[in-house]
Amino acid sequence: MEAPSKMSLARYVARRVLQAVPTLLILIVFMFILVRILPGDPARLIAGLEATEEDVERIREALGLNKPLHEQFIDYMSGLLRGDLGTSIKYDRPVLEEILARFPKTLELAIAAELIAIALAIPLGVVSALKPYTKTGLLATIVSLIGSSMPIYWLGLMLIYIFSVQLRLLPSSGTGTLAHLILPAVTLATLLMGNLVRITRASVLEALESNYIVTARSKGLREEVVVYRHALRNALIPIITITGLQLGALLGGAILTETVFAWPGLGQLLLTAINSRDYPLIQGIIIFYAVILIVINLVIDIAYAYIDPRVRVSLWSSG
Amino acid sequence: MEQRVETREREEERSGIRELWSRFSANKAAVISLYVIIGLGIASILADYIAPYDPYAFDIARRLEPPSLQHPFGLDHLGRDILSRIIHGGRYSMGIAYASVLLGAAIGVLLGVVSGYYGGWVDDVIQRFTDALLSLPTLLLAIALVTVLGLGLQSLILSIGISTVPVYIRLARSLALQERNMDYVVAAKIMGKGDAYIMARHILPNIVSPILVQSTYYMGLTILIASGLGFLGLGVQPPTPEWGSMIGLGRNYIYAAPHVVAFPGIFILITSLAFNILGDGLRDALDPRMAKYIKRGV
Repeated sequence: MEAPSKMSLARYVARRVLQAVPTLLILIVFMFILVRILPGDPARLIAGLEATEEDVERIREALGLNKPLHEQFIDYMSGLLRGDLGTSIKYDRPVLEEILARFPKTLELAIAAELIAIALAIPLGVVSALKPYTKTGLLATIVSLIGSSMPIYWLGLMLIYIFSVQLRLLPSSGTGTLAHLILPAVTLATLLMGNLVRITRASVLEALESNYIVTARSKGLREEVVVYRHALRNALIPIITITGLQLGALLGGAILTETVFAWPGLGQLLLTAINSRDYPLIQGIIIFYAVILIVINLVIDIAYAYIDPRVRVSLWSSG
Repeated sequence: MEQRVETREREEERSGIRELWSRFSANKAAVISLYVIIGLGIASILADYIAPYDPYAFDIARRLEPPSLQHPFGLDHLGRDILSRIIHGGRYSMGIAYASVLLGAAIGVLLGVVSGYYGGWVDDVIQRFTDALLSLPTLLLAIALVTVLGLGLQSLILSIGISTVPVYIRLARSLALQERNMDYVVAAKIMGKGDAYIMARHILPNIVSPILVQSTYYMGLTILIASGLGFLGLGVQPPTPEWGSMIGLGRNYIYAAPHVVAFPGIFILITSLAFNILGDGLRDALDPRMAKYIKRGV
């Protein structure tokens, strides 16, 4: 992709928005088709084994499954444009309402985890880049490797055993107080630590080797000034970007974390929907995730292009 | 003449591999990881012979018994030997990962090379498709696919494989884009070689190292995804032993019998860690500069 200059920022924004539209559309069509090529008849699955033929027919009608496929698609799309994601079979309420009732809980968990990860990983990454062959450097390597290899649901259960069962310090499940948030947030933060430490270290190292650092040093600036004023400030841009791009991983990991700690967020709602074969709800939740992630990536790309005109659009757009 | 050229090529190849090994073996952690992976693989293959007990044999009277000399990892909630279940479970946990990495890499590299080599509208179509899949986190995509394809080993492999495809497409595409305008590709075109021939014989061999490294890292990730699905009840179904589903079933007993959960998790962590360290070792031995193309972690 060409590097947008400040002059063409408007054009760049327009192009990115135009790119996001087909991406979302493809995903919606993909989900729509997937749900409809299901093995078996969803109406019969929902109705259960003891349902009469009339019950099944009634459900089929309620879901619009008796109409031809293209009519179903037009109905669905026109609903989406009005913000209507359909009606949940299990809860008998609009899907969007159900999602919006749960999403704040997932957001709370995700933000807490991101803050913990940033507070621990960024200092660790910076110190390990400045002093690579020390104990801190080794610790950073270990943290980044374990962060990428940890089954977080297992970590969560082990934390429950240590802090809830043995030490009786923190609650093992539920929500409401800050104490309830600690274990789930630490568990989810572990998922982000690996990449965050690695990217921080790499970007600080890259900044330290760049021309303006050589210039700053040759001007005779003190080492602290070189590091804090020049290197860290420039290393910050990729670090901020990656924290934004990790949102996908965060939402994915939240599904596991919420299950471990009985945290009533969107991930739990998705699993309930899967277990009760609530297809409108499943489809709605996945489209909701996709919309959020696509919009956030769009905002990050545009902000990035605004801050730094030389921007190279990131190779990895999410999760 | 022809033959002499060929022998020289083969000799060069051999000394190349020797040099690669000497660079790789300088990294002790990577060598240990390789042995761990080989050891776990052999243990899985020979599970029927080396597992001390039948992984399905239960003894309700002795349920949740803690580790002992007789049962080093203890017994689970049905009184089954956890060590034997872990050894047999490796077949599923690692087997699913190997199969889905192969599948994901094969589809992804094919589409990625085609996308980068042809460019134009082919590239546009494949890239929009890739963007759409990349807009969902890998785990969520795998969950969505497995919900649709149904429970079972085949659909599990298919779901996890497909969910990693977009990453390979991106990687192979950016590598193919670099190779496309190289002199040797242009020369092959002038010589009248077909596109399929050029892609298979010229481009693919030149981009294989980064793909190997990416696949090694993704072995670490797919083991986490496969066991994560097992934990959620969407993976391998009981009573089949699989590391993630062992944790999912054992979590109800965490208060009284933490060993039921602890041991399978340690094996997931060690296996995933070994693949990540091996990936680092391969990357450094092959070409450290490739790091910026490779995607790590979730």
